[in-house]
This record gives sequence, C-alpha cells and structure tokens, in this order.
Amino acid sequence: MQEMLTPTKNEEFNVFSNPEQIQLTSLNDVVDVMSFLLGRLSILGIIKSVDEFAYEFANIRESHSDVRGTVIRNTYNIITSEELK
Amino acid sequence: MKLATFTEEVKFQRLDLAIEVIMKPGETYLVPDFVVEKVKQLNPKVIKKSSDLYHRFRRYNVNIDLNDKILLIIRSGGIGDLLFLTPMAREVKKRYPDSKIFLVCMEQYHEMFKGLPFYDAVFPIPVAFSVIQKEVRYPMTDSNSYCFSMESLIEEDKRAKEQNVYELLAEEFGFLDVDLAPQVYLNENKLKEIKDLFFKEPKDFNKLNIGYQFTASSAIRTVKPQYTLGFLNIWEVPDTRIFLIDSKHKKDFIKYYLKRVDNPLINEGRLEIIDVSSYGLDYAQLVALVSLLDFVIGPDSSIMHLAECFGKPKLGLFAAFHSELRLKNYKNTVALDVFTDCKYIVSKKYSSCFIHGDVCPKAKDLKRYFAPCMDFLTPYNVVGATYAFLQDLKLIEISMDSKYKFSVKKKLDL
Repeated sequence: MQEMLTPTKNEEFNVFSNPEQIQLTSLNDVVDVMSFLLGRLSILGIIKSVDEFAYEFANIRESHSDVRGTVIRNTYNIITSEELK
Repeated sequence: MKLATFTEEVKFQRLDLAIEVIMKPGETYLVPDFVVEKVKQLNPKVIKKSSDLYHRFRRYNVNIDLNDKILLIIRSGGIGDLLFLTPMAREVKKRYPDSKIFLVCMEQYHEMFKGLPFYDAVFPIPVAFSVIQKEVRYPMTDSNSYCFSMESLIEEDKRAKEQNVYELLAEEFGFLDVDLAPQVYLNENKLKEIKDLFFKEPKDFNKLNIGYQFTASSAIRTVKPQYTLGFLNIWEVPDTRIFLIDSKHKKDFIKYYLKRVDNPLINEGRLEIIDVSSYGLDYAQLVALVSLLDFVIGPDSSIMHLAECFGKPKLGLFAAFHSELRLKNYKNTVALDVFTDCKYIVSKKYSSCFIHGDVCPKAKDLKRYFAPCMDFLTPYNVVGATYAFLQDLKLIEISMDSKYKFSVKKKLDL
C-alpha cells in the first residue's frame, strides 16, 4: 500500500494540475503537448477524431521505462441516437 | 474448490468485509482450496477429510439433460467472472426448466445474484453440504448432481487467450446460439438508498453522471492514479458529476489523490467529484449506483461488466488482456487498447501478456507498482476519447457559451 501511495514522478501532479504551463523537459512532454493541442483541434471540429493522432504520436511516446507503445481505439456495437430514431 | 470435513471448529474470516463463518466439526463444506491449505499448514490433524469436487459431483457436460437434476455453478473469483456466467445459467434454465441451478460464490457478491430468476438459490462460500441438500428437497445422489467449476478455465485454458470469455463459456456449456448479455439483480431497496444518498435533487439526474473506476482489482490492470488525477484536473464539461468508484478499504489511498484535484469547474460549482469509496457501499448498493449512471469509464474490472447489465455506454482501458476478449459482444462500448513491445507479451495479435494476479513482471523489473503499458493511457487519451464518444452519443455538444467547450445535452434512454 505504501508503494501505491508514492507517485512514480512527483512532478506529474504539476503537469496535470496546470496544463497551460507544461514544461517540455522530455520527449513525453512534447507528445503530451501535441496530443493536447490536437485534442483542442478535434473539439473545434478541425480534425475528425482525437484518435487519429494517437497512431501518429503514440508511436514515439515512451513510458517511464523501455517499453514503447501505441493506443488503439476499438468500438463495439455502438447504437447512436440517430439509429434509435 | 474442495469438499472438506474438519475435526474441530474452523472459523473463516474476512476482516475487511466483516465476514465470519464458523465451520462445525463433522459437517462437510465446500471451501476454497486456500482455506484447506491454510488449515493444513496450521494443524493438519484438523482436516478429517478433503476431496476434489468431482468426487461428489458429476462433471457437467453438454450432452446431459438437466431436467430433474441439480447443477452447481461454482466460482470463488470476482464479480466479472460471476457476470460472465449469468447468460449460461439463464440458458440452462430456459432449456431445462425442471433443473435446479445453484450458484456458489463469495459471500460479498451473493446478494447481487440471489434475486436472479434462473438461480434457484445462491450460496456463499464456505457452504455446508447439508445446507444445499436442504434447499434441493429431494436426495442428492451421484447420478443427479452435477457441477460446473470455472476454476482455471480463464487462467489456464489456452482458448482464453484467443476467444471472448462469454463465447468460451458458451462453448463449454455447448450453446451455439445464446444471448450473451450479462445480468445482475437490482435490489429496489438498495436503489432507493442510493437515490437518497446521491440523487437527492431532480436536477442531479439532468447532470452528466459519470462513474470512473479508480483502480482495478489487480494492479496490473490499473491506470496509475496520477493519470486519473490528471483526468479529473483537465475535465472540461460543466454540470458533470464524477463518481470515483473503488472499494472501501482503499478510501485513504483515494483521499490522498483527491486532495490534489485542482479543476476550476469545482470552485464554480459546475463539477462535483464524489468519492464513493468513503461511503462504504456494499456490492448491491454499487449495482444500484451503476444503474443510475450515464456513462462509465474504467479498467478491465467489475464496473465495466456491471455497466453492461444496464446497457450503459462505457469506455474501457485495456492492456494486459485485449478488450475483444471481454467486451466484444457489449453494446455502446469503446475500448482503448494499448499495444506495446513489452517483452512479456505472448500474443502479437492482441499485444497482451495475459497475466493474472496482481504483479506485473515488467513493473517489478522497473521497481514500480503499476504496469508500464497502462502509462500509454494518458489523461489526454482518455479525456479525448471520452469527449468524442459522448459527442457521438449526443450526451454532450459543443457549447454556445464561449466560457465552456461543452454543454450537457438532454439525455437519451439508450
């Protein structure tokens, strides 16, 4: 339990409590900022989906380890409101 | 699971759940393997007899007509496993209405299933054989008593790494065409209690009520809490209530992180974060809470599956097991699956390590607690996917008020 209570990186609190003041100190920070900006573009409808960039940027993201990876969105049996009408 | 008889009284206790069962000497009980092992370690003389379930019950197979027979479905695992079994039990009852179907599960879950119409009774573990016999009302013999034990099916069967869990169970039961929707019992009294606790005002229903499962039952499937904190800090939809769902014994852990939530919407009175762990809800109350939510976010754990019982839209966060293996047949579901080059991955198709239990070997290598693959599910990924999905579902829309990005729309009964 004690281990769970110890954040792996204390500064992560600062990063997420104030996204406007992210300090670009690592590759992951750059990726976070790019993701954040693209997320805004998606909200404004300039790009279609926030997932589009996941492929592009997650490939260069590294976790706090030597593991490299990406995030893929899977959808299952979506019934949208249009289909219900 | 084992059938065991003791020479002395044995007390089975779960202090965290306030569960205590006294097992009397001379009676035969259905008990989990670890109980027998523990008693054996403490004093082997206390065990008068211990045998495998299949010494007393026939192994269920697909060719058996279960009418006028007894089927014990036994699982000592968590909520998810018990929900996966519900479509099968429902189908058995439909095909063999004169069968008696009993579920044997851990005490804390038994109330969630005992009201389901296809279970003739639900027994909490450990249960005396005589208690089951009393419920049957006719002699249980070697020829009329069957059991289906899910033990090791998910953990050890190699099909579990390729097939959706519901489809795997349907195959085990011999059902080709079966409704795979899970089911849970919603207790009306508990529903009222939850409404009184969390939905006092009619306007509470007009807000966007999101359930977010903070941690999974296992650390390997948990997104690290700093990221959940990040999600809460960057959430931008006003008039949202986020229910942080977790077990009561983690309340101090949750509190530690909640102190650090810093979202301007909270001070404006437009965002409420409700720490469910601090209310000490039982599982039946948790079921009632999920039934009242609009949207659920969580890792590969109980809340995802409970949400499906009520047709709730949900976003799953998956890595160690690919979402297809759990959510493939669910409605209104989006999953974020992490694909990594972690050396413990055994399936390239799914990028999954299929490791059960609590310890991620990669995390251990790196001297950390949570699995590093889950780090790819950043708050930005989760928030972005949630906004996109909520917009698709027409639960939120781009706001006309320039102060906020989104507004909550009138909810639809999906």
